[in-house]
Amino acid sequence: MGEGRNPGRRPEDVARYYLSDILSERAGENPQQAVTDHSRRVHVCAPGSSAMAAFFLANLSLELARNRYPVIIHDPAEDGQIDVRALMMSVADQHTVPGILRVSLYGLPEILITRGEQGAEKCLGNSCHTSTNVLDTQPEYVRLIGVPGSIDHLRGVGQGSYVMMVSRQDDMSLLQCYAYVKVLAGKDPGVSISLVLDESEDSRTAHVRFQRFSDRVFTKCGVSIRYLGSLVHDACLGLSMVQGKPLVLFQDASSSKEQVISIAQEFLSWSGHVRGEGHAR
Amino acid sequence: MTKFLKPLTIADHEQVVKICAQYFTSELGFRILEFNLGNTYTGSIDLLAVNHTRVHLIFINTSHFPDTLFRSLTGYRRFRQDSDFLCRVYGAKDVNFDLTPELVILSPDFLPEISSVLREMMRVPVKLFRYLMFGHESDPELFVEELVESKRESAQEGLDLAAVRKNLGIEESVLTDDEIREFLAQMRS
Repeated sequence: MGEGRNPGRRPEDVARYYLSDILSERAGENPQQAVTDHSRRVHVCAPGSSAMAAFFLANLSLELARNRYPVIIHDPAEDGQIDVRALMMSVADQHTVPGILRVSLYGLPEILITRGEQGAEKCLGNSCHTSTNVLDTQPEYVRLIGVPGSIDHLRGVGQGSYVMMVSRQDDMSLLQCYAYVKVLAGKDPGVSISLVLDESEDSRTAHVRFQRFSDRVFTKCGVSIRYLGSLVHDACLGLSMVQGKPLVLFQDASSSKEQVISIAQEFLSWSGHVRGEGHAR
Repeated sequence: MTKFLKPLTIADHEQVVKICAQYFTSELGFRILEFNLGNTYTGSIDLLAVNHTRVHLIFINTSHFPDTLFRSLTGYRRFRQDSDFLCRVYGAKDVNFDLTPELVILSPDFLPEISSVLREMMRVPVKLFRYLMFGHESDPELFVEELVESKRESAQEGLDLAAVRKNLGIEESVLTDDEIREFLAQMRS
């Protein structure tokens, strides 16, 4: 009998299939041959507040994990700013590869946090550690990429990207947001953009503000913006920031927690295409 | 020598109304038609005044602002109901009651965000004035200023757009002056 491929699975294959955290290993793929799926990226941009960018990166990653999607977060924070690591402090596993923080809650796929968009690639260049290779060889990972708070950084956003923006609802913040959208739309008319209004007084006012903003953007830039919701700042949100524990993990009910969960659900619906669910934009 | 002025509180509502009436006649050129029109149950207006462009229903708060705000709403309703009667009393030649009525509320203090709330909620134009009195009760001095909202809007018209762009980190090639003005006008429409 020849050396042909055995269609059956050996015990170690079966064990790897059921016990591995890495989905491509479960599928029997060779990690070294897998290619990064660049379409599975969502850029998160909060022009006025790096802290809120970190806040949404942390909470959205947990909601993605809760829906069975492993996540890689590219944390954009610079020194001295509140970053995703600080907001995930209470749930992160400290014993991991240098440069990568791992969050692995019981029964959920892992969340990997790395500094900057190039962080993963640098780790790959410097190390042959298996875990670091995960960052670039697992197409099923959804990448949440934080965009630093400067309009210049939008040049790194690729064609057909998904960009979630977070803005306060006052005129100047929305003007800044409009400038960002204009740059994105000028670079790629096919860009998909969603918006969260932060520090809103009430949801109705926020929605009216969004409608005006959205009308303006559609008229001038030809881009339709998806509204994900508004967020009120309350004591629970403040506590989440201070304790380094994402708001969606809090036991107690609060307005901000309800709103974050609602925003996350809208986010999941909007980014369905990114996660390979074939949703229309 | 520096003088420290302490606000004076006058309990007599009628006296405060008379003092404020002087401000509207001498400073703003209003003509006062009526003092204390109506009553508590049907809605009362402290001062009914006119000028060339509008009929002004003036309400002066001397206790709680929410009560005065509600009184202004019932007073407006009363005015609309009685407009035919007022026309007959004053004569169409003398006073044009077809002019747009405007609510004017004076108060020493206001609820937060009241200007923006009223602007969004009310069809009828509303102007808010903050007033303070100083000196002695027998010879008080009145200070009146229109609430900041309108001043802020006029200030925004003279906005330094270069400074705005710098603060927001936006280059002129991304947003021109005209685009910024158009955007802000649309957001405030």
